[in-house]
Amino acid sequence: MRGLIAFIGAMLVAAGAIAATPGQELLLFSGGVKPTVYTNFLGGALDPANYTYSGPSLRTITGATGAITYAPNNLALYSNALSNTLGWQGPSEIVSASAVSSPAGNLWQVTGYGGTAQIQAVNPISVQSGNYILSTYMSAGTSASTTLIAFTDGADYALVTFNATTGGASAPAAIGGYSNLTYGSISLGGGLFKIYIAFKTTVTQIYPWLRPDGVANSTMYVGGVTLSAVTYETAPRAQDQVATTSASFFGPAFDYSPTTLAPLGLRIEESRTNLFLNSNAPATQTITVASGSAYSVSFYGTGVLTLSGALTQVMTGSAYPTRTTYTGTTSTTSLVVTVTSLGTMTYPQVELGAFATSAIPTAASAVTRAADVVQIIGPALVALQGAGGALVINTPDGIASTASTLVSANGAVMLGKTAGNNATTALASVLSSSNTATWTGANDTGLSWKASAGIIDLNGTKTTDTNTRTPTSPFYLGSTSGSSAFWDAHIKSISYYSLFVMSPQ
Amino acid sequence: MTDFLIDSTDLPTLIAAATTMGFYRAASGQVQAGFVSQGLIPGDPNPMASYFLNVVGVHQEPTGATTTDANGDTIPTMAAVPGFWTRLRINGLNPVARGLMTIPATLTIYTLVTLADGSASYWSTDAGVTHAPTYLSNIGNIA
Repeated sequence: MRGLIAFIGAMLVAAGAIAATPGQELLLFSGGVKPTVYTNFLGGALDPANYTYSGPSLRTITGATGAITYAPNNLALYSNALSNTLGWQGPSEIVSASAVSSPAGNLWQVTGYGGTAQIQAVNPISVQSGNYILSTYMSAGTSASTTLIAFTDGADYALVTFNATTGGASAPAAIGGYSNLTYGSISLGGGLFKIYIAFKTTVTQIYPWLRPDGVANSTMYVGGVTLSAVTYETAPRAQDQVATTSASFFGPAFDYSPTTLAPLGLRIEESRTNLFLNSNAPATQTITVASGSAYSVSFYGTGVLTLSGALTQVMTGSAYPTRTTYTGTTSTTSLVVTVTSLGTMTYPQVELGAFATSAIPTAASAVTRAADVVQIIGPALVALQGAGGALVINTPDGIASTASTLVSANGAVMLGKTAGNNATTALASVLSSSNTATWTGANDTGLSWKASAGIIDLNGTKTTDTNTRTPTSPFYLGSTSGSSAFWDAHIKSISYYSLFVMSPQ
Repeated sequence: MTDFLIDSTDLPTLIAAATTMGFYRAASGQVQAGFVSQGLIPGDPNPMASYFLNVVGVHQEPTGATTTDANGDTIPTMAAVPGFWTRLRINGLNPVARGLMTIPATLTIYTLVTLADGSASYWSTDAGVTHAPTYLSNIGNIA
């Protein structure tokens, strides 16, 4: 009978005969009701109408090619506001608006007055040792060329001059702390080019510079400046082409499976610090740790790490994408990590925590990655605030035996899992499904609520209660209040319903 | 994007200062007390900047000496440097300059000052007049 009612109800809703208004109770299976808001993270984007994202640091991802690289980023400031004196200065240049269009908006006309003057970033951009790509759009003015420069000081810079009409490159140079220079131009038609230089650097600060040909009163059209941290890439990445003003752009992490190359969805992680120094050139080192705490050691590829002192373990790796990990409780304050065999080892990492998180490249000192803080806003927030509603979240993975949050409401777990691997909600009381999932595989976790009843559903197994719950904002995805119980894994999709459903799956 | 190094002497001083700056919340209902480590600048009427607070605490540096641990490994001797350290990243316009935030006098703030020719940078509390120890560059680095 319930199935028949559910079917009829679903048909009525689908036909528009029943409005899915907040607080409404229907004996429906969620599969028969169109969600008020549906988010599919497999597309690699965070819908700005329903989510805000904060993660003010670089973070690595496993990209669509299966290789590790950086999540989208643009470190350049005022990237297409070259007349803004907070971002750019040109002591002997004049910057004015133009009608020359580009994918980043209209370019800027820069008029030079001879010599080697250029328009340059006001403030240096702090960087870690690693690979970067500097790019800009360029269209020909009267200047014969545009020179693109990553400048630190007179002894440390990389530059390439690009012909303004053909995009051809000449006079490449990389000196001091700059090396591995590659470059190119991409013709976008109509005389518009994307010109770029890719380089490796050991400096700690970079000023982007753009220089016309040095002929008095010559003009160049430029704009859409991007400086992005990368790992193996040597050409501009589409995902980094995000306009900035006073803040650098750090995009969320969307991973791909390194084996199947299938998208895994949005990754939400806590902040972590990699204590292993110079991770791009692994060498034996002693690391100060807190005694009596769980630490995780990891690396990709072949090679052997031998742990002694605070931890005792021999870690033998396998070819990428295998990540070899070991977690143990430290017995002293000094952890000796011996690189017994280097092999193809990449991204060695030592971090405080009971599981390894995404790779954090380091140089001469430990490096901390900020957390991923995702707040739910807009129509999704409205759906959650209803007196009755439902939420279904599909996850491809999770951290087993660790309590973590999928959605929090006003500082409490609205939907998550316990250390015992049960789906849970703590708005009024804990509801633990009897269906214990393996959280390393795919799971559907759902919650329905109304004034005096709730249902929590884990992969089709339901548990009910009669507690009162009215979710209130702020709502965070993948953490409690953006500060604890981080999901530390991926989320594929979320369905938000504005009405109570009997089987939130 | 600007990073600052903060010496608060000890944790209670940091908590008091972070509370003033909006980076620490008291317990309320089911919400536990703790640092609000990242987010938008508190009280910004037109959000233009985010921040990340990396609380390091006591920082240790090698003394130059070595010792032998219980396993027979030769390891460097480490010693705590003075201070209780936090690195603060402001990604956007400086909230202090915009009048949104006041730095409590209990904190010592270090900024990275670059020489005019770009050839070197130093941490300093007085715009480069005095150079702080170089080990400050090892404290709380943010990716």
